[in-house]
Amino acid sequence: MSTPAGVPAYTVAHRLYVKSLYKRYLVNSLNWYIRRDLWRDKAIEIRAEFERNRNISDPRALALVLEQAEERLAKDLHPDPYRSPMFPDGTKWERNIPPRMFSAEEKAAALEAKHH
Amino acid sequence: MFRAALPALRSALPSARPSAFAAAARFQQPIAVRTYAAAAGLSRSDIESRVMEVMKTFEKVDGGKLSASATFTSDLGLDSLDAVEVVMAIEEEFGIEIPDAEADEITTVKQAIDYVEKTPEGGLSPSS
Repeated sequence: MSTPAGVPAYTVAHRLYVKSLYKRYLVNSLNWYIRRDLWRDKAIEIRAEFERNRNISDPRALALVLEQAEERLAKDLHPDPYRSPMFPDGTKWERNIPPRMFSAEEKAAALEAKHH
Repeated sequence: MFRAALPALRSALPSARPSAFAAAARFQQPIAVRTYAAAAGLSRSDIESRVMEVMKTFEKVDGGKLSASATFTSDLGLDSLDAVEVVMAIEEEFGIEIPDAEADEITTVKQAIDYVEKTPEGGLSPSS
């Protein structure tokens, strides 16, 4: 059975998913730790766990591992994660947006409409 | 504000540690103040040097092979999880967030620099 065009192959999608999971784990742990040196140990633990499960080829076992990982992540999710200031939910998000500038024609049209 | 307060401070504490105050005064004077109206953003050379600094902190990266055109996998010998760590370190360095799909596209140091340049934190806006 071949994959339909436009749908990424399973391996590509899987690689993206695992990378995303790994990053979510790292970011979530960084949200919990204040001290960088302590977080470093945690990051190494997370990495070791991913490395341990690297060679699972049985799809069922893999699905189980990933499902459990998702569950654990959901349980440990930080309630108030760090947000970069300029990005959604950040403190500077959508502050000081430049105003819309009207063109000369639009100004003329508006004045025209006002006077008549 | 501090500069105006300094002589007053010095007269208030007459003989405490004159040399230390003199040193402090010397530090205060020549600072060029950046106003809030100044154009914000980073130049490409700043971004490049900071990305390079980030890359150098990775143990797995061989400093000798590090260059702007180096690819993560073949030149620097990083695997896909290392690439995630690199992207995360760059996110923290510049205070930006890189979505997963776009993070996956970043496979060379140059692409990382280009990406940072496009973000609101990064480059000078194209109009300025």
